[in-house]
Amino acid sequence: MPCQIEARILQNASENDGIYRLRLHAPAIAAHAGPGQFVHVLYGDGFGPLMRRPFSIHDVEPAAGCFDVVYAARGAFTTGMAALRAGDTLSVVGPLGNTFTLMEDIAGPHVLVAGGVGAPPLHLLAKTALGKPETRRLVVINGARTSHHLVATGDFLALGVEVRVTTDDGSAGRHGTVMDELREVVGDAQRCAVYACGPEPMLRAVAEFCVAQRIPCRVSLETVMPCGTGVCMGCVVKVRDPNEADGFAYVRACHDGPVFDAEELLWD
Amino acid sequence: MKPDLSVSLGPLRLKNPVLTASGTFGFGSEWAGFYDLGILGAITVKAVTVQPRRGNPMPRTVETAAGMLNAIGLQNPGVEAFIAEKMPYLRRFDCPVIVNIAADNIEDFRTLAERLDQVPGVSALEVNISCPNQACGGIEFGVDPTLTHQVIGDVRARTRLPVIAKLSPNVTDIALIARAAVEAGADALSLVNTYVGTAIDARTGRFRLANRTGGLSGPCIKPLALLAVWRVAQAVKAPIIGMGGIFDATDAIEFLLAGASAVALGTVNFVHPRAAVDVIAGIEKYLEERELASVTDIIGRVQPAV
Repeated sequence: MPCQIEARILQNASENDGIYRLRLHAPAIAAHAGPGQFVHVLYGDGFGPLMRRPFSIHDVEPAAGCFDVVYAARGAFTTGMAALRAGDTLSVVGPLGNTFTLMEDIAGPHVLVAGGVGAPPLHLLAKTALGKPETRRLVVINGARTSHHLVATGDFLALGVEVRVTTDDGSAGRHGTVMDELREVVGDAQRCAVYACGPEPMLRAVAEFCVAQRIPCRVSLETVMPCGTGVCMGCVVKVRDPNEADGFAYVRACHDGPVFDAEELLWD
Repeated sequence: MKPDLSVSLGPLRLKNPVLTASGTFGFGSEWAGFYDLGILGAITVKAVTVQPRRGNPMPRTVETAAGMLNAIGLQNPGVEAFIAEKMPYLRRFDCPVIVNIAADNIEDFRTLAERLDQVPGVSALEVNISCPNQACGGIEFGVDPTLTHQVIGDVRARTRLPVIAKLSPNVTDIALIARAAVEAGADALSLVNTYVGTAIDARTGRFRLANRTGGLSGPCIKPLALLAVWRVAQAVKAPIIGMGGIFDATDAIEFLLAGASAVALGTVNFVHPRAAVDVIAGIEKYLEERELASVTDIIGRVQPAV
């Protein structure tokens, strides 16, 4: 159940070019947060910006009562957030949304496709999946435009999982996209499962590939989320619904998602 | 002694004057983690239509300076699913439930009034004659005094529940519409609904909303909404639920001073989910500091600047 907290900032440090790790003390959120869930953050005083923004939870330390968010400082909102220091407070609402759960009866590897700033929910998924009997093999495909845009590579390596890095320009890892790596990983695998988060074109490519190959796949979507709590209906995504005209319905990314089965999604 | 926060909206008695605005609170069940819904003066739920509505394509919302535009398109499960699936939860709380009803034709307004009249737990109907989004069509009723009179009169004739008319600010003279609604039997008036606006992305050269236009809400509309409430309070005796950009207790008190008997929190629910708790406490504190016995002591009591 989500709550609204003035959370104390424990750390807010730059990790890579413009990529920041924010650690917040919020025991009520840390106690319940799961992979795929997000917090809705309000930065600043007054009315600019007015609305909250969603950030996926990257790591959780329930015993310490804290959790991490990893974000790119790009627009006015996140640039402002990046200027905050340890000891400052930030208003957060969460944990919100559904979770990535490990798919059952998967003989092959669980493949986590993490594109750019989409890495956080998959990091938490990898962390929680480790040590579970159903996790026979875990492969993380960590991609970005360049080595400067890679997010959480060090964190994935620290977990001791198999990490395959790709960059569009070849500045780190394989010169190519996550799709090149994904085709290779699933090519020789018996019945794998795929979990993905990243930019929409990447998610669409992963989802359509998996649906075509009949590989079970779950993706985490990001849309504009005015309320984050499921009341405003402003963040809907199209899902298949045979009972509706034209065979689709709108469901809330914030409350019914952000994690969806690739098979149910319709891409515009 | 604690000040008395209770107010009356015609036959509807509320323990305090703080409500939720329709469309900003879903059907209440998402709020369990934030506070007990029983603290609210009343819950106004999202608009309900006769048939389910799928709503508009995305993008449906965009943030603007101190506000937001929305064009949701009245996405809702329809009145039957509302009664079967949403009302059981809402009945658990010690709080009146106001059901916002929307339609693009008079027959549907009649159907909704009749269908909801006997539903246990429904305390009042708020007739949405002011949805600004193209898909819902409701605004045509709210911009014409004759149509307003007809819709409100038809709903009035088909229910024993208190009838609240939710007015559009997108009119030349809102007092004229308010009078028509009261003459047709409205027990109370809700105002304002959102102001029609749009947003364009200069970079792409495109509208920012799939619907092109949307309803503007948030702090940027507060001065406009406050004036609308004051004008209507001068024109009619019916109690008013004031709303439009209320973000804290001070905003709420300003609406009460302007003549609203109650206030509704809208966009603020998205930003500060616990806003209602703070607004109720802040109104109480304001009255205590001034040694006022009742919130009714400030309703409509705005004084000239000098």
